[in-house]
This record gives sequence, C-alpha cells and structure tokens, in this order.
Amino acid sequence: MGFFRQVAGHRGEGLRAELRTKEAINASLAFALVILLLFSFAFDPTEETTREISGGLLWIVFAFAGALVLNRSFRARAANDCLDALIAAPISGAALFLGKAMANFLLVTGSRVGLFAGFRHLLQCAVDLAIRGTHAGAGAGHLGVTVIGTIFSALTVNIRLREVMLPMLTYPILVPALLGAMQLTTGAGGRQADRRRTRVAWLKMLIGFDVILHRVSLVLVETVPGGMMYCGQDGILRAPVGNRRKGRLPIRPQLPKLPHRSWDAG
Amino acid sequence: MSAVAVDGVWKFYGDFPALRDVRLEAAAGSCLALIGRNGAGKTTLLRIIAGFSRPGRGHVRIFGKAPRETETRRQIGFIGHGISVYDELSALENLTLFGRLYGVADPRRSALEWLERTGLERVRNGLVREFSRGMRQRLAVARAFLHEPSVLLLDDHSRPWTTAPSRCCKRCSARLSRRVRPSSFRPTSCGKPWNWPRTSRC
Repeated sequence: MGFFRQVAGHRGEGLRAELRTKEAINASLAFALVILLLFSFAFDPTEETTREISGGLLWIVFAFAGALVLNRSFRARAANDCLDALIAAPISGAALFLGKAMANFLLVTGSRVGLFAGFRHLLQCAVDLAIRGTHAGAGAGHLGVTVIGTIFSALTVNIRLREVMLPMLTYPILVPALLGAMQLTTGAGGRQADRRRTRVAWLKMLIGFDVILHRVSLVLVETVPGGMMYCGQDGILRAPVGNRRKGRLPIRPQLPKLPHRSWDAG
Repeated sequence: MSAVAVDGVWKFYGDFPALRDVRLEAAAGSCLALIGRNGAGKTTLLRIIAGFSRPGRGHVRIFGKAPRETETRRQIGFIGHGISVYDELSALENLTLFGRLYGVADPRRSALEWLERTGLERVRNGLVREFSRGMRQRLAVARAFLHEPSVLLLDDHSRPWTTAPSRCCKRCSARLSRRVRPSSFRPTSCGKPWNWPRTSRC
C-alpha cells in the first residue's frame, strides 16, 4: 500500500469517526461561543481599540478551542486498544501522523468557519479581518497549531492529566505561530500602506515555522508511537508496584547503607 | 528457521524484573501455550514478541527478523485484551481499513469474507459501538485473521469470552492453519489450552 493511500486512509477514518460522534466539534464550538459572548460584553465593538486587539481575541479563541479538538484525536483511538492495532500494522509512523494531522487540520478549519460567523455577529469590528486577514494567515497558523497539537496529543495519550498537559506542552512551542497568525489577522484590517510589507514578513516567518515543525515532527514521529507504547501500556508510568512481592529480588544492585548519623549523639 | 525465537529476554518495570532470561522457540505450524499465574509476565512476553514493547535485554526474532520490521508486522496477527477496532466505524469499515493498512489485495472483499466467517455479515454496516460484547469479540477475531498472518498471538482471549467467539476463533484458526500453517501463542492463566501439544510455564 502506498504511503499516500495510508495517509488518506487515516485521514478518512479520523474525519468519519469525528463526524459521526461530533464530540470534539461540538465541545469546541460551544466553548468558543461562550468566550466570544463574554468578549462581546467585555469590549465595545465600535471602539478602535477593540479592532486593534481583535486578532488577539480571535486567536485566543482558536487556540483553546483547537486544543479541545486535538486532545481527542488520539485519545479517542486508545479506547479499545485501537492504537495497538495501528502500531502493529505494517505502516509507517509518518503516515499515521500525517493522516491524523490532516484530519485534525480539516476539523479545526471547519470549526474556524463556524467561529467566524459568531465573531462577525458578536464583534462587528472584525468583519474586515475575517474576510481578508484569515485567508492570509489563519491557514498557516492553524497548520502550525495542528502539527504540534497532533504530535503532543500522541505523546500525552496515555498519561494522567493529559487534558492539562497538552496545552502546557504545546502553547510555549506555539508562541511564534500564534504571534505570526495574530499579527497577520490584525494587520489585515490595517490602515496604513506600509503594513503590507510587515504582513509579508510575518507570513514568511509563519510559513518557515510550519515547514520546520513539519520536518521535526516527521523526524520524531517514529519515536512517538514508541512513546505511546512504552510509556503508557507497560512502561515506568504504570509500573506494577503491586507485583513487588517477597521472594522477587530486584536486579538493580543494592547500595550499601550508610551508617546512621545521629546529630543528637554529641 | 524458527517461526518465533525468544533469546534471553529480560523486561524490567523500574527495578522489578517481570521477565528473567526467557528463552523459547516455536517452529512453523506449531502451537505453544504459555501458562502462568496472574502477573507472571505472560502478556508482557506476548507484547514483546508482537513488537509493542522493547525487551530490557535479549532479543526476539520472527522468522529471523526483528518484530518491528515492516515485513514482520505483516506476518503477525494479534488479539490483545482490547478488541482493537474503532467504535465509531461500522464492522465493514473497520475491516476494510485494516485490510488496507495490512496491504490486503482486495480489502473490501476480504472484509466481507471474514465477516461471513465470523457470523457478522448481517450487521456489517452496524456501528461497533452498538454491538454486543460477543459481536465485538467476533469482529476482533476477524480483524486479527484478516491478513492471514503466519504467527498468531492470542492473549488470554478465551477466558473472559463467551463460548461462541472462542469457538469462532478456533474455527478460524483451524481454517487458517490449513492454508498458511500459522504458529500460535496463547498465554492463559486458567483453563485448558485447545489440544495444543506444547506448554511453557512463566
């Protein structure tokens, strides 16, 4: 089976499963709408300041709503030991990763379309940037978010507090992508002609960041399924402490005990 | 050449040795049951043989190759504790997907064949999440046998199961053994192995 058919198979499976349950999309949209509603009360849509910070507001919503989608991408597959079956299959880790990343990208992009509708209604000032700025920068921004989110979703699939760990691990790495996307989105509704040059510079930075992320992820991806297996299923994180029975001596050499030193002796 | 060769395998959980210098060989066409108490390391050994886990020391060879090689993975059929199929997909979609991943020539036709053999052709378009436990286990059997593996690794699969899927699994094994002579491993902590000639204790 060709590499691209494997990728397409994983992408189709991920999309089909999500579109049937709609768990991640519904959670993401509901969360985003609540945040947008709060923003619409907190900021006056007619003020110039709101227009200037609207890119930042938009990407705060995107980033956190996207994390809800990404969090489930591998976790949902671990339910029936499906990851075991995928890891056992004679496919490359890169195909698995790219398939999941593509499915996630499409899901995040789909939810973005819904979010823009809410953004337009609740913060009217963002109409311009919703039309122009998004197409310039949001695609590249979402690509970065998706790639990093997918690889860390795979890494954290079997650990405790994964819902907390995923944002904690991904957002620091995503700072350049979020900065670039924010600047592009805000700058798209710009008032000065020289903003165009700045936008191009940010777009170049964002594309470069995405390319680097992709390359690094594809290099790491063969290790990540190993991480899922070795840490989650039978690794140190779930070591069977209860099996440390008497009569089973640890193999690690025991260090000689140091003589107890009592400070009260004197 | 042995179908499965385990040579001096150790596995540590922290400083606890779950497996200590395990050595065994299984010839092509043979069956081997691993019998031991709970926590004896049966599943650990099986996961190492399947390539899911790395041994601390020693090595495993499947037909002379490492378990994680692509060609070796195509030769292994594994049923673990979970059913390893997607809840959100239908039975036919699941088997077709895994058929594609394993490079089966006509995945849809093979999937339909195995659904028929496991008695699931009537519910082939039903979502797995709506299946009963027995039906899910039958589907797991179909998934493991779909690509006609040369080495079958069955992890304590008959004990928690109802009789029908277990019988179904035996029937599939018998059918497959007439075609490709698979080597089978079946760890069990109780009950009788299926008339298999060799047992090895953990």
